[in-house]
Amino acid sequence: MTSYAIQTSALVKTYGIGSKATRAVDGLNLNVPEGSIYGLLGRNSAGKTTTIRMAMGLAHPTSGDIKVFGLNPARDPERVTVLRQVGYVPEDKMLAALSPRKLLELNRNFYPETWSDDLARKVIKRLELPLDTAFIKLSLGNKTKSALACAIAQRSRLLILDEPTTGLDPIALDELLRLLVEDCTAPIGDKPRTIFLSSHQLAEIEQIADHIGIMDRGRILLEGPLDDIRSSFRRLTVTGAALPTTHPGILSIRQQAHATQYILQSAPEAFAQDLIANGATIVESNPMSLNEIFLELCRTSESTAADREEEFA
Amino acid sequence: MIASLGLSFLIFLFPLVAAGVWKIVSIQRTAAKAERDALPFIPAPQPGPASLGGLPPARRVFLMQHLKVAGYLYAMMAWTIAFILTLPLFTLGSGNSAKWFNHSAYFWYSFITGATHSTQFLSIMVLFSAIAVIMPMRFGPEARFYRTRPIPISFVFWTKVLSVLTAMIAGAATGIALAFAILVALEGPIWHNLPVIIPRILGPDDADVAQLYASLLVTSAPSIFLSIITTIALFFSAVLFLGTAPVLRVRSNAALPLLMVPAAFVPFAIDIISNHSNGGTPHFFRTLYIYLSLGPPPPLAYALIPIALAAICITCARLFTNHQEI
Repeated sequence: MTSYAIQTSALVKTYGIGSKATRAVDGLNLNVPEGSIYGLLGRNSAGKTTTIRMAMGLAHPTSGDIKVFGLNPARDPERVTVLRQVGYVPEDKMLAALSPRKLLELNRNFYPETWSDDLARKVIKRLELPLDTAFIKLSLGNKTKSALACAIAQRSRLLILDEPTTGLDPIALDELLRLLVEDCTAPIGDKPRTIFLSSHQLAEIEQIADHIGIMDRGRILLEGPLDDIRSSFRRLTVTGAALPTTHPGILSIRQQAHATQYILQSAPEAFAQDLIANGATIVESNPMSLNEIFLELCRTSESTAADREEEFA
Repeated sequence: MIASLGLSFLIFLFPLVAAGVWKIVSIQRTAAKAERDALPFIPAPQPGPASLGGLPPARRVFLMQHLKVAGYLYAMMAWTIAFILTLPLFTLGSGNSAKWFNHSAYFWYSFITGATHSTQFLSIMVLFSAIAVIMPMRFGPEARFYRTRPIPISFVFWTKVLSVLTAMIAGAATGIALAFAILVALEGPIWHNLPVIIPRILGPDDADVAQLYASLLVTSAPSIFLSIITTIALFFSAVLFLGTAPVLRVRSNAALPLLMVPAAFVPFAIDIISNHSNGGTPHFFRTLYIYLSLGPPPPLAYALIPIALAAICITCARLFTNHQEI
């Protein structure tokens, strides 16, 4: 049975009241398996940071449920048990207004059972973190590195990284991705370790994530193992008469000059065989990159939302 | 008179500013040296005092940090109270001491008046201390840092609130004791040398002095000092209550500083109200055991009212923090 590091069910978070109320998270069902590197993708204001804030107990759900290791992260004493096992890098990378050395020294006191000075030194070296620069003189990239060094050296069961690559140069980014894979995934004892990172930078997520969730407008559009997602999405360019317009596997259809383009989100082989059996000709059949899948899902979600709003109006 | 007050204020500020500048310079020097030396990350272990040995390391670190800050606040409060109470002793002669019939009476009057006036000044310190407690629990990197470390919210709350409140009350008590020690060292126990009736040498032109002296005779110094302590607790907890109240959370966190600014005008409001109450302490303030001017003290039992209100406000603030979002 799969156990989950983070699990949400019908999670809703509303900000504001009355006519100014905004649903930042709108019925979110998220399942982050333990031992995975889970990339939460979404556009700006998709609800990623709000979801993470609720997972860290910094915000409380309006309704629905969020569990971290099966515990409520918003209520003591469960909250303390959760936080003992979680490393966190916030979106703005500001953990405390301290130099990196002071921050690391302070932070290590909170995790005496798991903290590793050796790992802290490794991260400092690999990311070239200036240890004694005053907080106000730190660049955004160095604030990011400082927060990352703290979170990684904690050797937690779960790393929650909100836009962890903000401000990093390509070399530091590459080092970070290596560090995450090399030093943050090996189980501690019999407990697997999970990395949950949010981003709208798809290329970096694609490099390391094995599970993906795509969010838009506070909802999850797609979730699952990255390999399964890649194999289930396909772009077919087809010519022929009486081509189908509805099918459970079709995500979108576009009419081109002399052909029809299908974006399929499940069972593309079976759909292709059906088309051929009905006399259609498949001109092109291409796998889709994560970037293309993301764009297609967001566009479809946007048009669906617009249709819904029109209907409502 | 203004020049004398200005000089007094400078004398008051000097040790505080000097200590602050010294601290900033020493921090900057240490940081610059560390940056130059580029030392590797070899943190020293942090053994806490033996008395805190039973606490988990995370809580011990948090507590130690706050006890350090409380130490500074304690020193500042003690200095402020001692300064306010003893200031008149060093500036006598600039006023109308010649009209007073008795040296001890005038010294005692000046000392006690300083104590009654201290409420307004102290309330500013208390308000800013309360805001300094609330802000790092609600806003900014510090709030988020501690809220995402494995420490119970209740521990964070009580550590912050009790360390600051205790430091202020203990600082006030120390300041009062220090001021008394200075008074006794300079003048002896002058409160024993006050004539119990108004001397006949006071003529019709000295009616104001006669009235002040009559008020002085019924003024209770212990009640004034108790009032300073209960007022500190009351103001502090009231601001804590306001700053953590859910009504502020519904809107924006940015609303908190804006709502706190009017609170800083409370001392001035107190001053205005007390000036329009014919010299005595207004009844409302007496009920809250706020002793603002010479005259008979409020009944001692009234001291329980601000203490009870403070306890209620702090308890509510504690409940509010459970639901606070950062």
